[in-house]
Amino acid sequence: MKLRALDRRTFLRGMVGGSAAVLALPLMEAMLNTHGTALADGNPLPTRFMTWFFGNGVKLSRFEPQTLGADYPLSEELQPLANVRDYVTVLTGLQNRCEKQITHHEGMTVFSGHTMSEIDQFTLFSKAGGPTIDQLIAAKIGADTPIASVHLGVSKHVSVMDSGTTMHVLSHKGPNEPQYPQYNPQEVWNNLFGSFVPKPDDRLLRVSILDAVRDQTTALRKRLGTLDNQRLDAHLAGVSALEKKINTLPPECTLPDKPTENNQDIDGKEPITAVNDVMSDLLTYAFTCDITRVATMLFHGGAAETVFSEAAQSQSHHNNTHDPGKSAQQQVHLAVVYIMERFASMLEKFKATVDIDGKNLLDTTIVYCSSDCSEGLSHSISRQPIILAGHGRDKLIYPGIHYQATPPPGAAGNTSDVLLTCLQAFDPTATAIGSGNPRSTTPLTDIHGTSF
Amino acid sequence: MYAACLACSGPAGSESNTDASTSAGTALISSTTDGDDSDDPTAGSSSDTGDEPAFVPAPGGLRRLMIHQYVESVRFLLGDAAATAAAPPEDHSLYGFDAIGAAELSLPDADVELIETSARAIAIAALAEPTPLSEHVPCVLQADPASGCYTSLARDFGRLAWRRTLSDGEVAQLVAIAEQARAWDGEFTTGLQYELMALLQSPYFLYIVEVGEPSADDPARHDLTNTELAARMSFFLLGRTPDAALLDAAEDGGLATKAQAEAAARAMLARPEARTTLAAFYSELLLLRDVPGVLKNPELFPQFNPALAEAMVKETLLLIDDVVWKTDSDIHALFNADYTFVNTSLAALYGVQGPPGPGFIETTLPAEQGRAGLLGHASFLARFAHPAETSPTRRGLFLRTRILCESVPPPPPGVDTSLPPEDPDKVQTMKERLTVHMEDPKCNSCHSLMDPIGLALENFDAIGAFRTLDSGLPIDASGTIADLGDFDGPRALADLIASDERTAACVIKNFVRGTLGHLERSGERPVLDDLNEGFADDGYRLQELLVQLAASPIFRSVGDPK
Repeated sequence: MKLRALDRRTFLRGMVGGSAAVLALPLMEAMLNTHGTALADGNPLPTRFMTWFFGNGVKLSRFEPQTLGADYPLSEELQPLANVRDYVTVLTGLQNRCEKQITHHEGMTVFSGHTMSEIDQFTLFSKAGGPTIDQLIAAKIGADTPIASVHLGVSKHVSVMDSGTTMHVLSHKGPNEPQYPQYNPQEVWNNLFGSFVPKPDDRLLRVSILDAVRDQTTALRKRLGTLDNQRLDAHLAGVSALEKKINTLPPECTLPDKPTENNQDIDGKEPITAVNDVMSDLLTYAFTCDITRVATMLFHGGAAETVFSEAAQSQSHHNNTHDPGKSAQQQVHLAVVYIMERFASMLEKFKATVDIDGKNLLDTTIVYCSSDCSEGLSHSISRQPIILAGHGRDKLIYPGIHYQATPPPGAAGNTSDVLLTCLQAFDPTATAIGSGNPRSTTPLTDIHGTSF
Repeated sequence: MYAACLACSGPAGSESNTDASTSAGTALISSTTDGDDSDDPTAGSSSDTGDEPAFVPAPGGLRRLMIHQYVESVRFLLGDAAATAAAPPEDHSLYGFDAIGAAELSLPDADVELIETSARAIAIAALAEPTPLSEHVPCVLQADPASGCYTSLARDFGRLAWRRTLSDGEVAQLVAIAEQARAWDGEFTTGLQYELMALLQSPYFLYIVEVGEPSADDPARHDLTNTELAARMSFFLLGRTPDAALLDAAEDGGLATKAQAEAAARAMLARPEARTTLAAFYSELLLLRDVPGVLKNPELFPQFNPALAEAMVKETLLLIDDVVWKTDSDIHALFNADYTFVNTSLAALYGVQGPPGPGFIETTLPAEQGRAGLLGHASFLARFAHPAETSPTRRGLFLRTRILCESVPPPPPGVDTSLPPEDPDKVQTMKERLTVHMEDPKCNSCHSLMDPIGLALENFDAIGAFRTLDSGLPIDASGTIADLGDFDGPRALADLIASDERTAACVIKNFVRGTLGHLERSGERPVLDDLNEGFADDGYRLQELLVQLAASPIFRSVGDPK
C-alpha cells in the first residue's frame, strides 16, 4: 500500500506553544506491516480514546439540532464544530439514570455508569461510585504505550463549595483512586515527554530504587487494613507504571519543546484559550507519538468558579447559570459557544494531524464529550447531551448523526448505552458497564460504525 | 431531597446549589459521615447499658505526608536549598481537610514519578550544599568511600526520615543502591545521591505509619509505639519529622506518661516551627491559602491585586499570632477582636489610618463599621464571595460549618428545583433577593441556617470594603437567628458566635480533622468532652489545648488498622 506523501516535518512545525521547533515524524512508516494495515509487529494500528468535560450544561433549546440523522443542521451552540461536523455525532434526549442527587455530582455518572458513593448532601461531598470509562479502556489498551492514560485540565478555578472528588476529577479508577488533572502545561510536558529527554543513563539505578520501594511497600502491607492496602496497591501500580516508562526506549520522534505557558492568571484573568491550545497540541503529539492512547480533559469544572473573561464575561459561568434573568442566560449561551469553540479547536488539530497510516487523528480517535447536567439552571440530568467526535477507525458511525432518544421535553433510554458502545469499540468482550440503575448491557447500535 | 432544596432557584439562584455548602465547611459530624462507627462493634455499645460511654479510638493505618510536612521535613533534614527543590505531589482535600485526603485517597499513577523527580532534585540540592546533612551524618563531608558512610547515611539519616530505627536488611538494601551508583560513575557523592533518593522515595518516608501495639489496659486498643508517638507529636506541633533527641527520648520511654508527653509538647511549642505549623493549619482551616488565587472582577474592584490579597492573609495570621503566641490568651478573640493589623493598602480598604511606611501596625477598628475579628477580615469576606458580588450563603455556611462545626439535618425529599422569579431583572438588595430562600419552605429549611448569618455581613462587599448601600439601596444588617439570638450588625453577631459554646468545641474538632486526618467519631466523644472542659478551665488558651490534645488518649492510641 502506497502511503500518501506528506511533508510531516512541515505540518508539525511549531505545533507546541507556538515554538519554532521542528519536529520529526512521530511513528515511522517503517513500523507498519507491508500492507499498511497493522504495525510491523502484528499489533493493530493504534486507536485512541478521550473524554472531554465542560461544566454546567448547555441551553438545550439552542444546543439540540432541529433534525435527526446525518446532515443534521448545526444548532447555534454547535456551530463552532462546523469544520469537523462530519466527524461529530450528537446524542440528545437521553436519560442519565443516576440514583442520587446532590446537584452537579449526579451528572458525572455519564462518564462511568455508576452512582457516586459516600454522599453527604450538606457538604456536597461524594466520591466516584466506580471506575470511569477512560480507566476501563486504559486497563484494556494502556499496556501498549509508555503511559496508560493522561489527565489534563484547563481552568484551575474548580468548585470551591463541593467537596469529595466527584466534581474535581474526571477520571477515577475507583472511589479512593481519583486521577487528578494536571493544569500546568509544563507539568504535562514533564509527564508525557520529560522522561525521554536524553540524560545520563541511570535507568538501572532508578529501577533498583523502585525495587527497594516495592520490597518496602510489600513488607508494610502486612501490617495494615483493607483500605490502606488498597492505597499501597495503587502506589505499587504507580511504581510499575514508572518502571515501564523508565524501560521504554525513547519514541521514534523528536520531542516537542517544553511549553512556555504555565497556566498562571494574568491580572485576574485565566488564559483559558492559550492553555487549551497548548494542551491540545501536547495531546496531539502524545497520540501521534503513541506515548499514550487514553486521555481525559476537564476543561472547566462543574459548579466551578471559572470566569470566561476571554468571552467578555465578568461573573463566574456557574453563577450566571443560576440566574434566570435574560441577560445572565444570554451570557450562559455565549459561554457555551465559547466552550464549544475550544472543543472544536482541539478537534480541528486532530483533523489536521496525520496518523501513522495516513489517516487523520479524528479517523483514529473517539472523543466522548459531556457535562454534569443538561442545563445549569435546572440541574436536570434528563436530556443530558453527549457529543461523540471521531470514529476510532470506523468503530463509530461516520459521517456523524444526530441521534435523539425522544423529542423534548422528557428523556428516554440510558446515557450508559453510549458508554458501553464506546467501551466495546476498545473491548469487544465487554458486555456491561456501570452498576445499579445507570448500568447498561445494551449498546446503542444506531451509532455503530462499519467495522464495529 | 436536600439537594433539591439546594437547587432552589430565583434571582438569588446564585446563592443556592453549591453555594449552600463549602469545601471550607465540609467536616461535619452527621449521620452519613460518622457512619463508620457502625463498622466498629464496640462503638457506643456501653452507652446502651447506661454506663459512661467507653473511649474507642479511631482506626490506625497510613497517612501520606502532606506537602508542608514533606517540605518542612526536608528543610529540617537537608536544609533550605533542598526544601526549595522539593516538589512533592499535590495534596487533595476530603471533607475540607488535606489531612483527611492524605488518610484516605490513593496516589494517582503519575504521582509516583513526581515523587522520584522530587527526590532527585532534593538529593542534588542537598549534596551541593551538604552542611545541613553533615549535621546529621558528618561523614558525608569526608568523601571517603571506605568510611562506611553509606551505612551511616542509611542508619542515622534513615532513622530521622523514616521516624524509626532501620533493620539491618533495610540498611543493606540502601547501601547496595549507593554502591551500585558509585560503581556507575566512580563518584562517592553519586552513591550518596542515589541513596538519598531511595530513602526519600520509600513508603516509610512518604507515609506516616500509625499501627501501634496492643494496649496493656484494653486489648481492643493499640497504643502508638514510642517512635510512632514521637512522630505524631512532631508532625502535629512542629510540622516535620522528629529530631534525634525526641526519638532518643521516646525510645527510652520518655513519652510514656501523660506528664511526660505534656512536657515534651510544651518544649516543642517553644520552637519556631510550632508557629509556622499553626499558621499552616489556620491557612487551610480558614481557606487563607485560597485568597491570593480568588478571582475578582477587575472593573468593579480595581484595587484587588496580589499584594492586597497577601495583605489580607497576613492580617488574619497576625491576629492569630497575637492571640496565640504573643499574649497566649483566649482564642475567642479571633472571632470578635475589636483591633486588627493593617498595612497601607489594607488600611485604605478598611478606611482606617494605616502605617506611615511599609509593614503592618495594630489598629483599633471603628465601631461604626461593625468590623470585628475574623468576621470583619477581608481574607474571609473576599474568599466567601463571588467575583462581582457578595455571597451571604457562602459566608453563613462557612461560619456555620467551619467555626461552629454545625451539621444540618437533610430536608425532606421531593422538592421542586425550579422557582421562577416574578421579575428577575428588578433592582433589589441581596437581602431582598434572598427572601426567596427564606420564604419558600423548600429553601428555608437549609437557607435559614446560613443566609441570616451572611446577611449580617452585607456591609462588607465582595472584597471586604465597608459599604452602606447595596445596588443603591440601604443595607439592613440586623436580624435574628434561632440558635444564636438577635443581633444588630456584624459586631453583635461576632459576639454571639464567640460566646457560643459550639465555637470552642469546634476549635478542638478542627484539630482532630485537620491534623489527625479523620472526622471525629462517637467513640472519641468522652475524650473530646474532657478536652473541652479543660479548654474552658484553662481560659481557652490554644497553646494549652494543643498540649492537652497531644497528651490525650485520642492522640496516643488507635484502633485496628483501617
